[in-house]
Amino acid sequence: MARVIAFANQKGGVAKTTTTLSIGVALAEQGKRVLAIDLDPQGALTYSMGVDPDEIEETVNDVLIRRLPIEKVIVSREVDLVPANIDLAGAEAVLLAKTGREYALERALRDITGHYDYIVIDCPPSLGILTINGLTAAQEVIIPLQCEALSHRGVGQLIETLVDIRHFTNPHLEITGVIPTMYDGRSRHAREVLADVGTRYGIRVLEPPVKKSIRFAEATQAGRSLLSFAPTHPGAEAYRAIARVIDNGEAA
Amino acid sequence: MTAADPDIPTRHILYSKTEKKSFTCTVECSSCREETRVNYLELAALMWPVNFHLPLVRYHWSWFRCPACGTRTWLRVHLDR
Repeated sequence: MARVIAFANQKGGVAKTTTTLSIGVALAEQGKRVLAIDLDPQGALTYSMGVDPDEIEETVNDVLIRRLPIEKVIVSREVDLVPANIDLAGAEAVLLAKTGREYALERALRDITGHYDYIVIDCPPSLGILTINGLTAAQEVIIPLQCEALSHRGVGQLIETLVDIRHFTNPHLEITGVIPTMYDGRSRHAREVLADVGTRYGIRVLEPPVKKSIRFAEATQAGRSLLSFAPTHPGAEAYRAIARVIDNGEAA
Repeated sequence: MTAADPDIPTRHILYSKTEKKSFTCTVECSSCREETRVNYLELAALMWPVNFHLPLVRYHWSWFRCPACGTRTWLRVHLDR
């Protein structure tokens, strides 16, 4: 049975997609079978893996709305991918009218959970029904966090949603930890924000922090993860180290 | 508790469980993959005249008529939803 991990933070631009892809690829490098699911209508994860969201015909939207078996939309890249595109934006409205709308993704994953060691889910930057689907299908959630002033406010709101998720749909959902992204170790502010989030919410910080680098954007442009684009880059090494922590179960 | 209840936070409307009323449950179909809310009388009608159940053997462990697609097939009853 796969470990299903959702990467969620309703704040945009905190490196959710980069973190989902990098952790997925790092786990695959360790010999794990990994499936990445793009739940963001912007299709950022899909694009980051070298798939043009505008060119694909069947996506996670068809899985959630048309009940298409999920294995029919999987694309093979560095890790297996369930792609998304802008069609997914309409899924929110369609799902809202359905009974059991929170469980659409969980139902879809039931058939393939034995085929993978890890399923990583890139949640959209909102706390709507798509994020709820991701968190309902997951056993664990990891919060990518940009170390700046407004970040801990976002974490507070996300934790409220996690309380709702545990109450309504998924009582076993665990917070594995926070991954500090775009970290500037020279700034005292970044270190303070990181320490504050850890103590205020009692959430484990998965280290080492991932430092800001233009190489992440270059890897995305090339349609690859940083781990294959620049294998020895400190950012790639940081994600490998965090993936080892996750895989060893030290964080759970 | 219903979605129209002014006492519940608006964000909870996202969860279909807030629509649950007394003496209702949902039925999830293995064929059409729909989940449908029914009351207990409707559930009894769907199970008539024949139904059987294989708990622990399979996820959709009850066999009777699906309220969504009308097929006699394997279903799962969620009493808590």
